[in-house]
Amino acid sequence: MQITAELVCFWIFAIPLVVTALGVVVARSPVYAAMNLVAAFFFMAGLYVLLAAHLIAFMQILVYAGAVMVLFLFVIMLLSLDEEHPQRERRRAMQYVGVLGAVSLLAVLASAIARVPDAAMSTLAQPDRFGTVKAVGQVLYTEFLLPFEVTSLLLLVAIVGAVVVAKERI
Amino acid sequence: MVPVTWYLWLAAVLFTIGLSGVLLKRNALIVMMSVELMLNAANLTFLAFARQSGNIGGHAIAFFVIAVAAAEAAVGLAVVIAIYRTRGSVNVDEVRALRE
Amino acid sequence: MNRLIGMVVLIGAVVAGLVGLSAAFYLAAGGLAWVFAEYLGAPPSFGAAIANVVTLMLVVMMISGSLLTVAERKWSAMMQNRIGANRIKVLGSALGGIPFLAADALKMLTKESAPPRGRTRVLYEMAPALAFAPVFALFAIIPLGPPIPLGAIVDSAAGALGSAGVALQVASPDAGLLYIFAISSLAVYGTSLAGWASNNKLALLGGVRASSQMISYEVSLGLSLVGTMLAYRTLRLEEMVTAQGLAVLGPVPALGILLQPVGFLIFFASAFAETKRAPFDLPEGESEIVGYFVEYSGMKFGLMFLAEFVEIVVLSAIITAVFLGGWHPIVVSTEWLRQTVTPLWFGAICGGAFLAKMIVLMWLQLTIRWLLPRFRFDQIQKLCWKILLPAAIANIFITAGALLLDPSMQLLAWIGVATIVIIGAITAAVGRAPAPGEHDHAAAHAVAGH
Repeated sequence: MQITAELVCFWIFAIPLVVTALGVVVARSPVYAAMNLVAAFFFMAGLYVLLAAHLIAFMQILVYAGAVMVLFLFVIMLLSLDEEHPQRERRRAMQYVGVLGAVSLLAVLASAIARVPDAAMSTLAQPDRFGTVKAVGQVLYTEFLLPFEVTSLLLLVAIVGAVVVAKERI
Repeated sequence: MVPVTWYLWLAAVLFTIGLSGVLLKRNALIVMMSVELMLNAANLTFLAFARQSGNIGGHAIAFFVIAVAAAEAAVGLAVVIAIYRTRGSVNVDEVRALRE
Repeated sequence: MNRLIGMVVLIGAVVAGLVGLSAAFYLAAGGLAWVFAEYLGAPPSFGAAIANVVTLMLVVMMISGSLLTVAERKWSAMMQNRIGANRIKVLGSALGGIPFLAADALKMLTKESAPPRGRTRVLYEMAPALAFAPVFALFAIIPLGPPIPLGAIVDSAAGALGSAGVALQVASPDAGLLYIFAISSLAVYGTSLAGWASNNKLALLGGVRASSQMISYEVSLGLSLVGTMLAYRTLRLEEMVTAQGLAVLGPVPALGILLQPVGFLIFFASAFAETKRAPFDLPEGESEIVGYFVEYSGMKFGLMFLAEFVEIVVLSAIITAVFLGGWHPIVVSTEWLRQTVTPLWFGAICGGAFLAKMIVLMWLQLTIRWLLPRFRFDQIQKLCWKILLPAAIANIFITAGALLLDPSMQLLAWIGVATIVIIGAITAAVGRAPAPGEHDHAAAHAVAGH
């Protein structure tokens, strides 16, 4: 396989992505887990750019790294959840089963991926237009108009629900 | 050109990591972070196929996934705060009032 | 009269200096672009981008950021009617406080670092960098000057290479303003982690305050610019600047502040809150909790301190580009200028205009910081969620409606003019007229102060 800039970039983003994703699960303190996840989102955004999804890459950083993870961090700081509580012994067996389940899922996914025809990436009709704000916006407001509007309803429900659940008395 | 299967492999690995986080960790916040990781893995698949087929629809789906994830995080964190307030812990094993 | 002449000469010298500076930037960008294209075969935008990183991000941003630290001392002294920083003298003259720059830098670099016990080590060390890096990266998409053909800068560039445009802009991503929102939303990590990792109650309080304040104001910050996106039909900053050069009401250009006065005010207030300076300086709150950086010393503190001033520079640049016409020298017509002078001088004058507008905005921010007292925390949240956010949403609806009725932006411009008049009238009516005798009292107080 010929070494191209795209290939190099893929590995530059992919390897730290897996490492930081593992860091989320392995980290002992929730703050370290959160910071690992933020880094993982950044590498993920890099991969999105490689896939010509410019708008989604920016949305990824804006929504995930900029808002969702800040919220997580805020809750961790607010509740001062420093160390994870020591886990109970009787859960150990269940954990091994959990790992087994995750690995078997990977096996299922692997068999599915093996069946994907190894088609090359299509050459885009308008490469400088694919994935831009304009292109995604057009498809959002025409083909996906109903899901788009339902999403706004969902967000409204989420806002109200979050306030109702978290507030002690309304 | 990086073939699409590489992205799929990467997404599969990430999804597995996220799933094992959900199954292994007992801290509700880390469980939620692992769920975010799984959602991201799904997004990566959507975008990889969108790039392969040249169909922009995958980007729209990824957009919706991000919006849903934001909503999920807001409500989920509110639930975590409420649980912490009543029980003084965010361990998911101790939240079993509906079972017993 | 002498004073007035002196002021005019000073302003003229400053503007001439800025024009010369941007001419030098163009020469650097063009020269490097030509070298890269000629010897390495890279597209000319490569070399120009590298030169722009050095000149714009390192020279303009860092130097004006560090000069602002001195400017703030001098300006606060002038506003409080006292003699400012003047204790370091070079050959018997204080030189307007400039030597303090070297003294400050020397002090911060040589001070002992005193990290607190029980800190979270990695995050404690990372936090200053996390606070500084996003602010620094924001400057990358600011269009400081218009694109001019490479052939006008380097004589030996000819043909297709000679007509390639060189602009004073590092990068121009398609998502333009989204980049600004995305990167500026990352600045909160530095402050909140600094508070958390210091193992100090007061620092943690500052960190929590900072994160809640910055999350809140990000919402109105983002929504305030939607109106300008609608009006100019683009997210790219350089396209916004170009669109602001077109006339909309007779000869008056379609400046952002004319079309979107409400958006301008909301953006300015929210971005000011993001810089965490008075009146929004609760995360620092020097008189009560000292702030999230209480446990930092030496250059680690210096980095956080500098980030605040660099934020001022970046904020001025964004406002200039989005609301004040960017590099269009408003006093003369851009088209006339383009046809009259050579392309290099055209670019230099436009870049100088941008820098001059930025300086005025920086001065405005220093003034606001020393004029207003601090808000209470509930007032900060109320201002954001109950005033700025509804106003921003109403602004989006009105802007969209006006553009739907009249896509040529004239209706929007008239609405903008009416809004400016109404806001001015309300300010004049609410602004308290000085009570009789107050002037004499104030004057007597000033004299007594001496």
